[in-house]
Amino acid sequence: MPRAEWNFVAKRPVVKIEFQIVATGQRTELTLLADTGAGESDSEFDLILSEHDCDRFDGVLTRSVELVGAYIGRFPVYMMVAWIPSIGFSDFVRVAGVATSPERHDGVACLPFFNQFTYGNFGRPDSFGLEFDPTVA
Amino acid sequence: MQLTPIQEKNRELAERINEEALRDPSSPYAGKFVGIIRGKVAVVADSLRELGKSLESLSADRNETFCIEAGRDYTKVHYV
Repeated sequence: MPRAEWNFVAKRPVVKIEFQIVATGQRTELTLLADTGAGESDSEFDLILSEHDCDRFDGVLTRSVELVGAYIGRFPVYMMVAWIPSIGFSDFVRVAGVATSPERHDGVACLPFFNQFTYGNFGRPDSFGLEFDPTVA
Repeated sequence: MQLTPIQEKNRELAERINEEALRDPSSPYAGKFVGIIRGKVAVVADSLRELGKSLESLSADRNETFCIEAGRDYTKVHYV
């Protein structure tokens, strides 16, 4: 099964995910904090990005969600496409749009996102990785 | 966030659909992913992926489009 691994950023686990910039048609890679404690397995969002990014990546509006913790309040949720090319992942994700991203990261990847992968440090304490089987997606 | 009149109309329809799905599990929308364009239901799908691909094929203006997974409790608070 293909695996993607990324070194920690600011001593915290991350995943790098690509999104398409509508205006140019080009993809750009964002570095998201990998937080398996964010959200619940059945939460209505997979990722948290700035509203600015939700807009430039052509997010389609869905229902809003109420968050507490690092973000407090009701936030819009958008549907958009995300890619991790090295493991053959390409799918629609639900993204909560917030005013500001966490310091030194472009956003947060939450538990519902990780539940479609095998994830962890795979024996390397300074990195985080995902394994994905495209044949079962 | 400030909604445009079309987005507001879409959101109102989405809320009605969700309330119907919550009230009546036999509703055709219950458990479905619903795409709304300019105040009308345009897509009813079984998965987020199917919904997204269907909306892409319609080439709808994203500012006139709204999505909902019908039958969920959107009042729930999520810890992040």
